[in-house]
Amino acid sequence: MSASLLQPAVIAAIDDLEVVARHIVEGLRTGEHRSPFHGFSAEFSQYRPYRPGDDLKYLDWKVLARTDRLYTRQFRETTNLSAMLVLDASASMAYPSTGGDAGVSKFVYARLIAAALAYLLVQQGDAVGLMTMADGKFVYVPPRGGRMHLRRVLARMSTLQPEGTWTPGAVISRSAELLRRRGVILTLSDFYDAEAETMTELKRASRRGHETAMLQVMSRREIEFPYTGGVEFEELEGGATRLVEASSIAAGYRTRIAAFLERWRTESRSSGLDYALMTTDVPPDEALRKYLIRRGAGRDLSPITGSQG
Amino acid sequence: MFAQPWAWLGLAGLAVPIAIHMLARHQAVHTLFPSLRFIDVTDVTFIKRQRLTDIPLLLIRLAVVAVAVAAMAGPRWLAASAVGRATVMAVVVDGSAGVVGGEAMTMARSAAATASSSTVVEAPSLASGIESAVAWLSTQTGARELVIVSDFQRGSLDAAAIAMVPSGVGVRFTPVPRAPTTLPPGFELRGDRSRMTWPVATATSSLPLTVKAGADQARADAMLSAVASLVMTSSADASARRATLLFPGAPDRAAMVAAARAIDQPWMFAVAQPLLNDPHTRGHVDVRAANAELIVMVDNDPGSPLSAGIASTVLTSLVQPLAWSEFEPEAIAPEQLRQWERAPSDAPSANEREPQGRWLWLIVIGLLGIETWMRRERRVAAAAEEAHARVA
Repeated sequence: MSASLLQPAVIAAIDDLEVVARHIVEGLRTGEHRSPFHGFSAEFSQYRPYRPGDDLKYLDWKVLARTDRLYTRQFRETTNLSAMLVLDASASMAYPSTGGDAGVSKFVYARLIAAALAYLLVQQGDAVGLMTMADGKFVYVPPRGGRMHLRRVLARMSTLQPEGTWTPGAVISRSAELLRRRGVILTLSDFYDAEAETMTELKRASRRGHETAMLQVMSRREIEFPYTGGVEFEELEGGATRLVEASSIAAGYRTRIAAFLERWRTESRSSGLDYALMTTDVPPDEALRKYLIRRGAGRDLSPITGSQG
Repeated sequence: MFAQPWAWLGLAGLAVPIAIHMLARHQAVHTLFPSLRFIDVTDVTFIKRQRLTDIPLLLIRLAVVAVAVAAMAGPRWLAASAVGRATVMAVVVDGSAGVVGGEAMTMARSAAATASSSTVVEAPSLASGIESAVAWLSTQTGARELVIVSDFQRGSLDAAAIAMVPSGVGVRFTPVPRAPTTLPPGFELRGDRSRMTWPVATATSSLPLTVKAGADQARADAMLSAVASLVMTSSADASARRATLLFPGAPDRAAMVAAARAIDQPWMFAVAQPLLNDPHTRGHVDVRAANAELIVMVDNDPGSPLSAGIASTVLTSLVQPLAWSEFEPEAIAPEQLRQWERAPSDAPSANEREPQGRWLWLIVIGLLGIETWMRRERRVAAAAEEAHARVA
């Protein structure tokens, strides 16, 4: 991993989200990354495996005849792409809340990634919107292009705080509905809540023709569980507490969290969804660069994590 | 060694910090966590009762208690030489004539070789030797022992001499063979001491001192006999040392004076010196040597007190003063010697007796400082975590 000046803790200390997003995207420029988000018109871009919901008119019949495999032709969109950033602002994203060595919270990290993606898309002339849930209500900024709209999106992101709960299925479903034409739904979450419902809605959005990407943001501490001794855990979303001997449950916890992550990875892969696991110890520009390269190259679902991952 | 050994009961206080740390387990670390779905429920009783919190802080607190208890016990550090109980030995060798000197010294040196530090004191009397040895031992530390090498003739050692040895210093006796002693002629000593014959008069012919006075010979012999009875001479060296008092009336005075030469034997100087040092006699005598004999020329009347004084001085100087105790035929009973013997104790010397717990108290203060610092660090960390949690 190349060295980055944009360490998560440093970035988190900058209030201006636009400045941070610009810094991240400017860093990406050095790699000459083209937009990996593709529309369905104009210039042919690449093939990708067929997914249920793809318009059959884009199916490459010749390839099917030759190889007996289903491939959909993708095109670099010449018209504006509509992207919806679905950001999890539930309380569980506030972890870790202590700062310091624990690093920035998942929400701060996800917001940075979302801001950078918004900046990148707007710079390419695409439309970006925001959808999340705060205090049980949808927070929606419709997808539009332009710098003024970008500032609006980023300003709205800045006001968000990780608190309460959210219903990811409803938010994703609503996002898919509000995207008038086929676009991209980028969901940034830890995907703890309503696992089955979330996957169902993501698949449904994909079937509606939307490019669906899952960016699962996790903390390194959350995965490795470095706790020892007696610890009283308080759940961020429900407030429930559990007093445990951390050392004795650590092995079981790590097994279950690994299974949880693996479940999302395999489910998304089998459903043709774009999936990336990001840990908050990786500088966001580095994580974004890897993600974009991966998207541009194909479907590599290995996690974007730090040295441990 | 401890001044207050009962203070070690305070080690029971070690249970206090352990109990505090076990009870503190009830205050488990509180952490906000995204989800409890992967966290198993564990037996909280196990946490509360069987596990200790903050082991480093507990160790510091246990150390504070333990060192404080040790300080209260008042330890007395032993000098490095005392560690391992190194033996310090003073060996007193009986230097009296009755002891076979070479053998006694050999035994003394072999005894001294067994000690890590030792000295050998040879003294004409055991009392003076013990006094010197005790003075040396008082400057030493460790297990100290006094070894006495002697023939232990009756009267050479008594309880008063043993009492000079401080308590804690061991006493050991090493008997050596006695040199054969012979009583001077005319003396008889019986084992029951009821019949001891002392000379009341000695024939002048057996004396090493000859008196020649010519016409006054009878008076001179009478004087010499009386003197001899007073000084109780021994005949031990009579054959080796001889002298002649030459009075003015001596028939061969002129010839003897002519044949005489300057004295050349050390013993002659020793005999003549008192006469020449005495202001009363030095103007009336002249000393010479002739035929390995000391010639004392006297210019006074043989019957005069001055002549008697001269004869007495010469006679006393000629014979070795006898240490009559050397003729003691009996030795101190072995039972008595065993009674006086004692092993060296671990009792510290004077400079070891002072409890030195103050250094431990300094360590306690240092440990308390560390303990305070550790507690403060934990408070600060907890406060920071709480602040972060509030902000979050």
